[in-house]
Amino acid sequence: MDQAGQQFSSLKEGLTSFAATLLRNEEDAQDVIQDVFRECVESGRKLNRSYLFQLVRSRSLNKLRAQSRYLRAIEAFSDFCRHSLDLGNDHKDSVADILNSLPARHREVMILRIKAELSLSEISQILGIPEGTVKSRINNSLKQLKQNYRGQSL
Amino acid sequence: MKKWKPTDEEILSFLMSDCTPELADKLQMHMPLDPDLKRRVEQIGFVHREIKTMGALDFVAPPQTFATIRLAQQLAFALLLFVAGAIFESKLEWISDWNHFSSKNQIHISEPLSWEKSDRNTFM
Repeated sequence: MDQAGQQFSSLKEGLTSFAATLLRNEEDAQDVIQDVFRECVESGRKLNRSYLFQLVRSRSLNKLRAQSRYLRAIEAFSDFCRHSLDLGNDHKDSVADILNSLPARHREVMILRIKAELSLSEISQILGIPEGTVKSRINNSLKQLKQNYRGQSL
Repeated sequence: MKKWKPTDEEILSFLMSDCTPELADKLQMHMPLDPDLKRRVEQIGFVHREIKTMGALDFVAPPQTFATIRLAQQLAFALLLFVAGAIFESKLEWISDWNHFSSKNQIHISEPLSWEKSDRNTFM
């Protein structure tokens, strides 16, 4: 395997988690990763880590845009319901459940920071938002994750 | 000593070993003295470990949860539309009432007709 392929393999888990977080669908996430992998191998050179995540993000967003408006409206409303009406949080028995109930913009920051182990500046570059916003999103997400686990033994 | 309260994000950076050496020193110095800080570090450490060990596809919401959410959201959406429609309709009625009968007219209507009061013969 060439340099680009090796680099992709080392980041594959983080990239797949990121795509799955954005798309909320296993098959779509695998499709996006496959496309990005092909592009990475075809280029033959080692790509910037942030650039790979940016590629996954733009491909995932394109896929979401290609879906029908109705489906997207449903997804957006689903996020709204879960977040503001607290629906779908009936069984908060794992961090995954709590994380999946967070709004998309908080979820993606947490995945990039913890799962993909990216720095604040890299996340800010990938998402096109200031570092301060990245920090506040991480703080808000951690606050919610901690609140939900307050009563449990740690 | 004044109580120092780092942000959750700073604690996470410390746990991920990519914070500044100054912050790391400060946290290590304060932790044994501050049980609340120690508890926060443990909580964030737990969240960090859990997310780190999650499989890539754990980030796809379970289908059962989605089915429930979809049903709930469709009901909520229908309810919202109904309420919005009802408000809109009542507003329309109110506007048309207002145009047809000004407050002045309404007073007139509530009063007895003038010929009943006084000059009945003019209409006869």
